[in-house]
Amino acid sequence: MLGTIRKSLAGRTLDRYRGVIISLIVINLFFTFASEYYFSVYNMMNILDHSAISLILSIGMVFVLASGGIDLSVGSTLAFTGIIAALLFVHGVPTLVAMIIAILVGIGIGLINGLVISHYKLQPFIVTLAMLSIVRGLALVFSGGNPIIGMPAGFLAFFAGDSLIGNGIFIALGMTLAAAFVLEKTRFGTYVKALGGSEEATFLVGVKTSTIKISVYIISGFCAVMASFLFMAGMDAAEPIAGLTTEWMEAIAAPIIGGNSLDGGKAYVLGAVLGVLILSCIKSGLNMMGVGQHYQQIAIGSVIVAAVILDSLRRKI
Amino acid sequence: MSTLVEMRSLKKNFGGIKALQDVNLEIAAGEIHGLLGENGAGKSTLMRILCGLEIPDEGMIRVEGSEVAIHKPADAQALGIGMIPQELILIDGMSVTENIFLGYEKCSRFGVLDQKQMRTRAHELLDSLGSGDIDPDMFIGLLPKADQQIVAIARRILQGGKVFIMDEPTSALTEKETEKLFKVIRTICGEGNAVVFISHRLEEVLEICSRFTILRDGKNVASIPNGPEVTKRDLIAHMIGNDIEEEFPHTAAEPGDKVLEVANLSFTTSQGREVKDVNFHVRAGEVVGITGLVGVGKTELSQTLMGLRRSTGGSIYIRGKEKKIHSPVKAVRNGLGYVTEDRRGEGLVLGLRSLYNMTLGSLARIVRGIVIKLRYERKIGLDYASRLNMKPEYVNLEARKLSGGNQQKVVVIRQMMGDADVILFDEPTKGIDVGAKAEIARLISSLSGEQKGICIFSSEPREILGVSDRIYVLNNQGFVGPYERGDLDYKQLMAIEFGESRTTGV
Repeated sequence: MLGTIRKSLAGRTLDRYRGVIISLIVINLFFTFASEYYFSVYNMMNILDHSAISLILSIGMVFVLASGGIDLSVGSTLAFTGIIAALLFVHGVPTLVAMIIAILVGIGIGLINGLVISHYKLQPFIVTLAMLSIVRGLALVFSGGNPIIGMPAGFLAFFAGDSLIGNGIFIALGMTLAAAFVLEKTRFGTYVKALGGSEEATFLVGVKTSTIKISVYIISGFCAVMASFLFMAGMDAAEPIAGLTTEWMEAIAAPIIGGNSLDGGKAYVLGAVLGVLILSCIKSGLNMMGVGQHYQQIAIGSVIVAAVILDSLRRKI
Repeated sequence: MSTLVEMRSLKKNFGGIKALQDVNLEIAAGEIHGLLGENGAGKSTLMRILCGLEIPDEGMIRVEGSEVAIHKPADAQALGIGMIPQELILIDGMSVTENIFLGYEKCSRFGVLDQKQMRTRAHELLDSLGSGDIDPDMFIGLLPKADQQIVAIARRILQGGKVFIMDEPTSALTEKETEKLFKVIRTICGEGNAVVFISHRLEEVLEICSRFTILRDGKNVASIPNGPEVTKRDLIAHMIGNDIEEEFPHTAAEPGDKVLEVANLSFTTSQGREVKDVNFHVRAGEVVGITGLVGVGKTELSQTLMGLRRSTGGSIYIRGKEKKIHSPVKAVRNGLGYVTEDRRGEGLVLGLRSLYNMTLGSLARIVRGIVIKLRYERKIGLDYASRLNMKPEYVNLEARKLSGGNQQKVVVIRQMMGDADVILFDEPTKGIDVGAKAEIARLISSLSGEQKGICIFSSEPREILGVSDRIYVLNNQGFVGPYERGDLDYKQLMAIEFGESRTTGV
């Protein structure tokens, strides 16, 4: 009786992501024909390397989206915590201590987001939009508007590495696996999805919904700091204007492209990974074809609109 | 039988309205306790108190002999009391197992879920309820309604539930599903639990309940055991008591042509039940009342006429011509006007002045070119306001600042200014205090005096009896009527609403 038409895990996964996987293949085929440089080991490594930062931000966003929220402030948090860490580095604070302080600042920003949203029952959109502005301002004030250069050697070695493919992508993959485990296999993960599915129902079974809500913004803040470390290692500098435009938008767009919903209740980590890859491939391909940065923004925006339209069609069926 | 729950002398006021006055309720172990009463008798308030969703002003609750304080849902749950609500509180996107264990997950250390054990336990639990056919991996949203309720029951059992409160559990179920649910209810009560069963379907109540507590106007009127001698008629008599006629002003106008006619219309209610063979008509200058118990599909019928909901068959004629109405825009173009139940949400632009709300639908007639003739707009606004006894200063106030009664007047004035031949009112006096109710009734009558056809969809029998020239009733058997004004008294109308008698009117 049980599980009459149960499919294997792989089968169900393929079903869910069929559209995204096909899109990814089509995009790659297109660029392979459009540019002779696109499909090379070097470029593929490069794409993975460049995906790491977006991937980490997206992983945090999957938690927030699953709970029915959104976090617009991740790009600013990335910049500000980077500035904090870099200032501490240049003032001779031990690397590890500086990093821990930066992580605490990121968690603190998430905590404030979560507290304000859950305590005053406000829209996450407007609260995190305000936070975006505040934290960006702080980053500019603390840095005086200038980049801070000269990262410690140990820091660079850990986050950048010196091989063709940086360490970043491995850190990102580790975080992805951890996130998938938490969302699929733990009580906390179940509550995050339940909260997004129906806040009332979750509250009525006695779950502390406010705690769950605050936690997802903390996770998002933490992810922003980790992304920031990768960014700094890649540039050998902290930038007050880092994550200003595309990064935070991609962090929201990638999970949505991968089947996560702005309505909450779903958490597809693998979807977010595929979403990040789609965006990275498009950016890299357009670069190879010699399409300028400005046009790339238009292309990315169009992809996001297309993904959201597809998502709404999928929900109607 | 031992007493599980005892509620003594409960009082609860909402604003000035006495929802509960010294209400008592005793629930014994092993019983299926029917809680009965009209709409607004206080059943829901009483149960919300028991579940910790409402705090009583006075009174005492004992559970298994000791006095308890229930301030929030978690308190009630800890005592084994929980509601299996009408709108099921389950999460559609999660599996049966996940829903059953929500908040009570089985975990190893560090909060890692033991999914295998939960799945097995969920299956055992459902099996013990005679529902082993429900797949623990299925998404809740894909299950039939009865199975969803059974999952909700399983969840309460797992959480240590002893008292199950079920508010209209069968309203969305087919006969077969109802039987399945009843079997589950009998199983859980056989194990020393208790069920409080709230339903308007008296046949079912007579079939399944072992005892009844009946409320009227927030007071206890009877507590009787069920037995072969108890009839539907007895229950209705307790529920409605001795009726006191209320005065509703009524101006009989000379009815004109048929402006709206509905033939063999069918539609689906929001609970998924199909209502068939709806036949009625409205003449100009006439008030037609369509009534029935809450949830029977009145609002859905009005939405179908307005094109907000698809009809599944039949035709609608306006001024004798068949019209296909697929959207509200079409409905309005064809001369239908609609006053929704949710005035604040759907009817009014709250931030706009009353005057602009009044003229919103008829601006085309008060413009010169593209400019609104402001002085003329104000003149006609004041004119209508004075006809409806609305103070002139209210015309300039933002709609949000008006009382419910005055807001309703604004919406009605908008319809009077408009071109509509037929105006549909969905629950026109819901949430309006008693004094304003009579005034709204007068208003509706005055509209009919202007040769508009009026159609009222209301759950309040007194209002329907007071203002209608002709009455139709939606009950669980279908669409019944017409009954002319004066054909029915309160008791007869209630009997028809409960499906007790099927005597068709003249």
